[in-house]
Amino acid sequence: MTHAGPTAERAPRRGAGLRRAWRELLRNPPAIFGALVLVVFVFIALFAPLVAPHNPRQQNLSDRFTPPVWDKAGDTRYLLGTDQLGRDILSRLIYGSRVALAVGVFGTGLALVIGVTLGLCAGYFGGRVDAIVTRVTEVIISIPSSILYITILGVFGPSLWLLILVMGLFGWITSARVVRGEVLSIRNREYVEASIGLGQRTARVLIKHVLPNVLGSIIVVGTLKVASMIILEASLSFLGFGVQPPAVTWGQMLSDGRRFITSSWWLATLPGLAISLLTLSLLFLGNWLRDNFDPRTYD
Amino acid sequence: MRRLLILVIAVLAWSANAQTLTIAISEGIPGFDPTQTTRTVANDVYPNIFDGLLALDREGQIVPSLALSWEVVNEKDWHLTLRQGVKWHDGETFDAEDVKFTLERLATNQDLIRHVLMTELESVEVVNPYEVVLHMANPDPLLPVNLTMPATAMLPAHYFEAVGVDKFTQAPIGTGPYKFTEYRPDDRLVLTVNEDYWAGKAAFSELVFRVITESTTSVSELITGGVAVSDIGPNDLDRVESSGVAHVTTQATNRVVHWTLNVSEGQATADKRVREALDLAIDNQVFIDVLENGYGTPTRVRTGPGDNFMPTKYYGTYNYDPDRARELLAEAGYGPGELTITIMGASSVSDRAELTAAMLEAVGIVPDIQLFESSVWSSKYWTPGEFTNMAGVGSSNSAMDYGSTLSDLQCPEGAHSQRSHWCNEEFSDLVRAANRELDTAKRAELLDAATEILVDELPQIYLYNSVGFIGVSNKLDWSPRPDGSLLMFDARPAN
Amino acid sequence: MFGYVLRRLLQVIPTIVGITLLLFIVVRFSGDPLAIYLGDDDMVVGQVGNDQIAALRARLGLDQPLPLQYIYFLRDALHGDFGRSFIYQNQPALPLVIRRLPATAALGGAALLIGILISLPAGLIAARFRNRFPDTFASFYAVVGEAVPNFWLGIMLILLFAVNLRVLPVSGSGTWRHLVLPAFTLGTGMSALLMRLLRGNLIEVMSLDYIRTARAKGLSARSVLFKHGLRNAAISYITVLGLSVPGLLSGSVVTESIFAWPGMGLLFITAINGRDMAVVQAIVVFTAFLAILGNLIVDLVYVLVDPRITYR
Repeated sequence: MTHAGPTAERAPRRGAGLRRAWRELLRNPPAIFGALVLVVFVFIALFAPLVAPHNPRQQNLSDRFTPPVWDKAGDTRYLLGTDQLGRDILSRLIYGSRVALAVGVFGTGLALVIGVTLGLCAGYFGGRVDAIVTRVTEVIISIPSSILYITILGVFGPSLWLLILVMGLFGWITSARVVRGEVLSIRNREYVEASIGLGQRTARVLIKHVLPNVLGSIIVVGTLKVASMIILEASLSFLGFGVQPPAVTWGQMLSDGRRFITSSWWLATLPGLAISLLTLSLLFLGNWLRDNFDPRTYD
Repeated sequence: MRRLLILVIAVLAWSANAQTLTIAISEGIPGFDPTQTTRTVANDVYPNIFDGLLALDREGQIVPSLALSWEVVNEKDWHLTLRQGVKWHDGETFDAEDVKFTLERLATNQDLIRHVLMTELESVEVVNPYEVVLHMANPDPLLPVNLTMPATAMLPAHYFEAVGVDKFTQAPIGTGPYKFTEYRPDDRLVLTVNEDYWAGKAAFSELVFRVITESTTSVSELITGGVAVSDIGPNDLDRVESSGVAHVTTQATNRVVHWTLNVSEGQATADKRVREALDLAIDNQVFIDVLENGYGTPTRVRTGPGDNFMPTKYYGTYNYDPDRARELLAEAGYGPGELTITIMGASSVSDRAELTAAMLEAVGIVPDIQLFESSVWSSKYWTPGEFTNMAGVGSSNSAMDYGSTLSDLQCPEGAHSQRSHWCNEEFSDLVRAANRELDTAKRAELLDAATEILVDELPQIYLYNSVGFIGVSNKLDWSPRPDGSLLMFDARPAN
Repeated sequence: MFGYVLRRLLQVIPTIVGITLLLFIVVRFSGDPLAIYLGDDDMVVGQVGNDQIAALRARLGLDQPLPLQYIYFLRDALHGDFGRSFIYQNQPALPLVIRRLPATAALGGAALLIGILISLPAGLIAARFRNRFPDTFASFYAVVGEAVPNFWLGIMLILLFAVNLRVLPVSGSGTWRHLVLPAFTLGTGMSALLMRLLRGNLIEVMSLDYIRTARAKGLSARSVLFKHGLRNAAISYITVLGLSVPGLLSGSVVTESIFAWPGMGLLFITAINGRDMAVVQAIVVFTAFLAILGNLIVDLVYVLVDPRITYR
């Protein structure tokens, strides 16, 4: 068994991989679904003011608790019904998608950049680097996140970007640990050792040989992280530490709506469905990405 | 058929535990020293274990409890006759030494958060085991009502001496209708009936208070028969009423939801015309309809009808005149869109803030809502000068006395006065005089005069007096008390 | 190996000091405990005098300079004394925390078990029938598990099983029947992540050369999956499992409050909201110990699972 094979063959496969990936996408209905949903969400988030039928903060006190349009008591002016102040749920969901995508994408992006870098270094260099990363990891997971959020948002005032920053700064643990664990088991494989033996620069070895091998896990952790960041925002809203009104977020709608869950189900359920839909599309896309860009899963 | 089965099971379950009454409470009890907490729930539970010298009856009147009579000897001294034959839960006899111990402890120990209730007490003189004289530093019209509060409930001198305060807070004894049995933190408090209670034995042999923080859960427990009494939110009324298992009772409170305005220099709200415009722009009834399912009373004063000396003239009314508001704003120099008003508060007031914002917008004000996590908000609000323009507050007064309520607006020491920077000498003198006045008629006059200043000056905009909703099992004969206490002495199984 | 473990255990000390220092600063800057303690009863806030405030501050040690407060804290903590709670009427903080341990451990353990019991077979099946119905179904489940917030799931489970079907109690603790719904609520979210990771890694491992060799040698797909795949995919699985332990201890506030489960999460949130320093510190130091221990165990398990990993 020779290990020169996979490394040597990788470069020419890249271009073919893209074309193959496109073909794969067309043959993969869940991925098509995921891509479509994501495109729609990104579109409505970018063009929210044009797409939304109402101002998301516009109160219509005489139309409070209007159910969605398919209900007998529904009203065509409010396709997905209204909330306790008579605000249009559809418009709020549309504006909420901005926060959800911002939190999910930027928060995860930041978390992955930090986590993957630290994980790679810790796993690859071991020794002191690993010890320091492990120490920092321990400090962060040991301090419950709620307290960090209360403090930072309390001291600096609630703001979306601050929340994203904090989520990124404290959300990298899983990816770092997963990457570190994988690297630990990869670094002693012969082809990596061979590359080091051949005198290749460390950064090159890391990026060229180690990173592609942990890509699969990164994609899985990353796609789920986007979802869990959105959920985290919702849970923080539940505890009162999330993005504060008048900004509209799905998490806030969800946790606010739970007071009405038995009388007006749509208040909490629709934002929950929006979160699920976005997450589902991310997961399907994640599967497809993983299957097509992770060199080791080629059949 | 299934319904019938469920009914049978429910009935069986009930009769098997006919002696146990389970009540949902929304937060845990920090400990059992009534002088060391301000938590409402703890204070609602304590009366089952401890008795005060005086008590409030269901009409809100002060009635004898461990003291049979109370009278002012001269302006500052109060003579109390004590009930005889009252036993502590460990069998010892209650007497004047316990009164001296309890009240002097509160008066002298500043570590106790409820010390404020007895700051005026100089000493307790034991005349004989069943007669005491309380020597106060000043005439104190609030003394009788203070003696009805859970925080001044009688504590056993001998037991404190024997076990110390640390043990007491975890295994208390009192003279109340139920004895402490067990407390599992954030889970349940179990009390057993006191067979020798001086007013007779309570109907249920066991009381269980279950800590259920989430209101949808406690309502689910209520409609499945898991608990017999529970707080319910205004949105769950139908769910309880239609369950056939429990019904909704309303409870008057003295909680008044309001906005406090920062009147310090540099704030737009320093201008009285702006404050008046805000008051006129706000339609109080809307808050009641939207937030409270229609229950509640609009008001222009910070008190409810259960309180002594409530100025009835301003209760049940409010000012709403957007046109006049616009005029006042113009007089103050603000055209439409030129005045920005910041609305601050805890995230729990978001609906109230949004409603208010829409009303302000309607008169040409630009609202800016800034909300905070609730504990961040409390410390922000209580640090003087930390809020801009309007701060969302809802407060109640456990003394159930209007004079006591107003004292936090007197300056320089009143807490609300410090936050809002509103300092009116005349008002402060009136309130101070009222709280030294034993004559009821004169006291009412002083407080009414203070109210006139308040209504004119508007350091706070009062919205409405809220109503509490309590779900009660149909198998239980009990109704909420005006002071919110969960005293279960008079609870009976319904038939 | 023994030396490694010893060194790791010694490293706990600076970690704990780091945690408490960060925490101390963070909590003190996030609000005045006394302001929160006073509450919103006009009776109290209206009449509490400045001298009493000063007295309370002194009792709570809040009148000392911040660095000094921290040093006192460290000194006492070394003797196992985390100070006294001011919310919980001056009770010592550590026993308050330890009393919550049984309930917390029961819920956390059950949730962990449910997480494993769901994710292990689901991950295997999804990997085995990749891109076919069982896989899509499992993905769907993972999304629902991941995307549905605990409180929504919890409330729905109560409405279905306790209010409509009446087969399980609504809330509370005491019997195994009380444990089912909260453990399921907490375990579902965890199982989703675990399942996803397992599936991904299994698929990855299955395409490695030696596995293909094994299959070429005529081993059945199932036995390859179990024998080689599982063993190789275990690293990430165990990592995530280890990471979720401290979260289960202090982070299940939402589930605990919905099911009125008297665990550490409720104590923690009460303490945080009241800025009850002693209790917050005690909980965090306590869970930090467990987190670090969990991390260490995970690292040691790596060696068992994958002999190629060595520690010096």
